Amino acid sequence: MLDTRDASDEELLEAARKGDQRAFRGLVDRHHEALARTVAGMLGPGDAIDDVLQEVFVQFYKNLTVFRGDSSVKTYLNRIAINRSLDVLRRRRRRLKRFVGLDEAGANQFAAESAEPSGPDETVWKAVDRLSDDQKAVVTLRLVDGYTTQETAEILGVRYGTVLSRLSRASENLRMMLQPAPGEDRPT
Amino acid sequence: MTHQDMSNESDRYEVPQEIQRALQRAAQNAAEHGLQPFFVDRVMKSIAAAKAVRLPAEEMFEGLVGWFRPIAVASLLIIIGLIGFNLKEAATHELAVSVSESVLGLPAVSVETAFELNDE
Repeated sequence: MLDTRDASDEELLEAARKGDQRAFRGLVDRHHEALARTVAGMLGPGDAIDDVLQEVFVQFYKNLTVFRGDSSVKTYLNRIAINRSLDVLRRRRRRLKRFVGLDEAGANQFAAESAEPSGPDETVWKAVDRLSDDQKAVVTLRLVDGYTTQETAEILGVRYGTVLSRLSRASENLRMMLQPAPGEDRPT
Repeated sequence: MTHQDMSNESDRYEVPQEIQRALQRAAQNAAEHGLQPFFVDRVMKSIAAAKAVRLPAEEMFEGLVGWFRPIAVASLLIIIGLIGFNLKEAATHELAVSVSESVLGLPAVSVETAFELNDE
């Protein structure tokens, strides 16, 4: 019987494809905490993290036979997580636009200003909320998850240079909002 | 890419380390608070529920696609074989034929034959 702790992702995947529920459970167990950080990086704190993550694994299960293994399981799961998170961000913005009557930039700013206080990380989330969705995705994969620029490009399906330009703009924005002026405290 | 390369690149794009650390810490805290207990169990339950509500039509469609795939491959091989056979025959008998005649084995369509067909 397959030992889910020692087996590689590929072995678990193969077993899961054959209907081994324990193997699939092993994959969920192995990847859910890292993916929760990815989704949190995209959406900020809140209950949506749990919901989105569940959807990610359900979609992964449905795609087991379609997934050809061109990328690693981790990369594939990250791609689903980013896409699902982008859907949620778009839905949130649509809702804001409908109820508050703001354009996209206004909706982003409104979201950032009206974000729930989240303790010591509040400043960070307010800064992240002001980034565009594309910039958030790059920042999350590149700076939070620690993927290389090439891996980030592969996950997002964009060119290497695109990742660098988005990262550059996002860093500029984050520095403006988070880096303290001389004499002030560091961001918490 | 190594960690050294990553940090060099970060320097080039001026991502201060304290900002990166603040982002990582914030995401970690949000993830810890955002995940409800028994996450893995709940995922497995959702999957069981999703499997239970699979429509019979969905299963039938997947079955049909599964059956159709080998048939499509076999048909393609037969077509390629027939084209090859026709080309070989056309070359062997040195017939002055058009491309459609040599590949498909069909007589070439001329304006004259088209009019004849029309008259019939």
